[in-house]
Amino acid sequence: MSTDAASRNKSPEAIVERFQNDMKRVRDEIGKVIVGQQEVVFNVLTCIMADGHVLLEGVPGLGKTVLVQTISNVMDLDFKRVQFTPDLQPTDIIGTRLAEQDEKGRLRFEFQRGPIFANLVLADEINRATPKTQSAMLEAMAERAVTVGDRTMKLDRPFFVLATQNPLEQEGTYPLPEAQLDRFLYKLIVGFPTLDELDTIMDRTTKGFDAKAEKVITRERLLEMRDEVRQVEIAKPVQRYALRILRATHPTMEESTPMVRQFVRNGGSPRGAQTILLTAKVRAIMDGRYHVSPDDVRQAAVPSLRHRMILNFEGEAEGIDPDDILAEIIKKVPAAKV
Amino acid sequence: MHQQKIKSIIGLARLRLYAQRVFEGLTAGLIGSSAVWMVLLVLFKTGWIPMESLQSWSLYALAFPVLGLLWAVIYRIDRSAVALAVDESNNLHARLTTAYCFLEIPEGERSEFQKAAIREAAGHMEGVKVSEATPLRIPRDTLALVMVLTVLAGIVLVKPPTIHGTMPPEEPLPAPEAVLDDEDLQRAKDQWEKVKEELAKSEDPVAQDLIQEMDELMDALDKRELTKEEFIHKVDKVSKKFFEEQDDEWRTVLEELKDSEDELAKNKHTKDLANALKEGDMQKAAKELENLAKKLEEGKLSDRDIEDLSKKLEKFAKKMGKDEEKLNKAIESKKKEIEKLKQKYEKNKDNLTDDQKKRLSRLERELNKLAGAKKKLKTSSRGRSLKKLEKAAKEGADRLRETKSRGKGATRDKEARAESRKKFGKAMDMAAGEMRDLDKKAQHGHAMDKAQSQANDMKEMVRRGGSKPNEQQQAATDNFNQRASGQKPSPGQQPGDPQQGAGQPQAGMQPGGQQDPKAGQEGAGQQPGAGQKPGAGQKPGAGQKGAGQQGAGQQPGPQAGGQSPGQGNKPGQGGANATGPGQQPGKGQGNTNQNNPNERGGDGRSGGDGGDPMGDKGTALGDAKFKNTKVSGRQGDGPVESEIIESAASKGFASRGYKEIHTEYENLAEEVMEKDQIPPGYRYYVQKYFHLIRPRDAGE
Repeated sequence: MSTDAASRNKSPEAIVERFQNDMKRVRDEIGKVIVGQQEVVFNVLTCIMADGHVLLEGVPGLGKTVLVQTISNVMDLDFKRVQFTPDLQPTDIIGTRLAEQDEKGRLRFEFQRGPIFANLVLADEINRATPKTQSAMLEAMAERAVTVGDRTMKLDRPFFVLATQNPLEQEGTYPLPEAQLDRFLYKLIVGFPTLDELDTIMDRTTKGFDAKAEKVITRERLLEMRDEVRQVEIAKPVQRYALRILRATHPTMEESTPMVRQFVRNGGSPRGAQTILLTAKVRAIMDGRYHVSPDDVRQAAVPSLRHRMILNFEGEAEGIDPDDILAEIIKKVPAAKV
Repeated sequence: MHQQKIKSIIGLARLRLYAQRVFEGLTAGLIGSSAVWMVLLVLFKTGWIPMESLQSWSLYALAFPVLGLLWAVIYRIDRSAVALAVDESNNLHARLTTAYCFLEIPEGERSEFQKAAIREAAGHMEGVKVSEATPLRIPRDTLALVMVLTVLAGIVLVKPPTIHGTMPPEEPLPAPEAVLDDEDLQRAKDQWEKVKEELAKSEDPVAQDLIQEMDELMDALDKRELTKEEFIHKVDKVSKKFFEEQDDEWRTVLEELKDSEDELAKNKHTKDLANALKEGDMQKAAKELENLAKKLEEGKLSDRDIEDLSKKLEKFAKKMGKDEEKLNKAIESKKKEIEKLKQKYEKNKDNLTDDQKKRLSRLERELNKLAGAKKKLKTSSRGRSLKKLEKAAKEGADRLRETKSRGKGATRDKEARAESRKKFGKAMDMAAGEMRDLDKKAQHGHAMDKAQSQANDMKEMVRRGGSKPNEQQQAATDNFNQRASGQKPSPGQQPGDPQQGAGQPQAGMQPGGQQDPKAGQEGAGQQPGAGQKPGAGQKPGAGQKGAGQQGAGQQPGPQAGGQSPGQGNKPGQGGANATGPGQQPGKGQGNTNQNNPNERGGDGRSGGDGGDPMGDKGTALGDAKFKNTKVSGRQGDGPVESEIIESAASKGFASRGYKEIHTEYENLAEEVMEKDQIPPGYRYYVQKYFHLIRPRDAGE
């Protein structure tokens, strides 16, 4: 490749175009396996591009495992699934040292890697494990490394956790504390498929149709795409808009709305604003723009902040949905304040 | 190119925003102005304000639209916010905002993505509708403005009714409450008459003004035209006007004359003059000076007398001017000191240290201060009086010397001697004139002092005496008046009544029989003969002189009580024994001033110090502090009534009339109050006391 061609490839226009094309291919490939759930797929891909983790909330059987497995296939990534149960131990996730006999018959300890050592980890029903196990998992998510004894081992890049939790209050569940929820970039609600979608699912699964997703992009390309996302620019007034939305989730701030003041105990952390801006950048580049718009911010705000707002007793008692509060915030906080 | 395109769009949008704000500001301002015009018109039409005020205030009301305009222009509109508004209304996805923000970054520092964003934004600028982002609307307050203008027009068009209803007749205001009671008012009037007499003697116009103002004040007081506060305020005003800036130099001159008299006392001819000066009798002093001059003129003084007189008068003159002399000396010494320092610093004149400069400037300051004091002394009336007297005295001394020197050749020049005596006489007359002036000033000053004192007394009288006494105070006053006039007090106001000098009946007994350490020492005073006649119970001198009477008040206690020695046998305190079943320990106990055992005991009925009412303690003293004191009294029953009368007869009955004694003591009290610094509050009570105990006619 000549120098001119290389620099052309590095031009913003080329970067954006390539990014858009790759993403389209990835989505199309996933779409071959996953029926519907386009928004969930889009948001999960957004989080992968933003180098963050996702918490999925939805009843079992909606294709979460298939989604992760498909993504790993499309992006050429390792995939592991961990079913969280109350008796699951941290070592079951991280790994443990086992005594092994070498060729000479001597015993020595070898570290047996746990399922965390993968590019894509599906932590199924994470709220069924004890807090101790949860925290082991979440520590790995934050640090992207695990420590066993005196050894610290870096996890492979990319590292992406997709955790699921059952929305229903059930016996033997341990809800994730707020600090740990904060580590998830997005919390996505997996809705029930529509009638047409269900129809298609039934057709595909009951008539011997075996759809399989092929590899579309390499692991290296994925890491490159992540770097490209960060080059997307954001103007100060737009950034301010995102910050005003974040401040509006706090009942004591002047930007707060009546619902926030009535039902919210604590608003989102600064990590919430980071998430909004980062994922807004992904949306902008996917849309073929070099900058973030207030629309990107608005769309990123709901999945970024819904799990970061803590309702007060009144909010819990009234069964207030944080999405409604965020909708009100987005409606009442203006992007342009002239 | 891109830059211009982007900025022109933002500029246009901003201009439209400013225009909108101007409309808004003007509308709001016009509403304000119209509201003011409305009020002004109503006021004008109802006759509250004249045409001139309407015109001037209407012009002022135009300030509101001006303020509205200023607000619109001064208010800052952020360009990036305008850009975002244009983006939002044109669905540009913040392209304009982003481009504008990146255009602010120097071109060399822009990233590739920023440049791409600007390029892309420029491509989208075609067809941008600024009017959608910043539409020119009808101002928000237009409706309000229309309503206000309608009302205003209505007010302009509507004629006010020409017939005005008659005002109801003004009800006379109730006369203010009497500031002083009749007695105090009469007393104030009497005092003022005395002061007025003295002031009237003074020919000073100030005194006449004062008399006039004080008369008006007294008149108003008499007619109850003033409230308490008004009266006090007026008295304060009079005091400020007449007394605060009084010329007090005459006092100093009188003092100096008194201090200088000792030189004159040494000469037989000026001895009387010295005495007069000592007594402060300036009339007499003037007369003495005139006599001296006459003696000299008539040649009744020997040469030796003249020489001595000359010396004494010279010394007197010098003493009189001692202040100025002292000042002159101090000024000279300072000057010398400064000169010395200047000479010392001459060599190093330009490089003086800070300390040296400070020292020099301090000395110069002190010198200026002294010069100022000298100037002040010269210009003050005291200074002028001193100068005149000094001059007169010196001239007298010079004439005497002249006469003496000529006396040697008296046979040759009789006329010259007569001439010099005449001149001396003139000098003496001048001095006498000064003395008389001084006397006048002193008289006026004294009168003004009295007037000031009177004004203060009246103020205090009003301040303290204005309020009506409560029933208890009135009863006490009536009782006192009855006793003062030799009448028997009416029933219920017997001496020894707890209200009459007695303490609180509860004093001394805490609920539950706890002994208060202070109990029984406060209050509970018994008047002589109150309740228990001497000889009936414990008589004075019978064992415990000055001790309190043991009170009644034995009540059956719930249980047998222990012994309650009470306060002990301290002088002035009685004891109370309570033993035996069914007795309430702690009985009434007399009290007296512990500091003075000679005072009579208190009322046994009130202050009782008790033991434990349950009677389960041997002694009911608790933690009370007490001291046992053995009193050695005379043994026996004490004198009987006849013995007391007899002993009084042996000392002699009153031989002077009460009126005479009262006048004497009242004058004495007045004198003391004048001499000493008695606070006005106390003066009032002393005067009131003497007024209350004044001798009265039978009918009074």
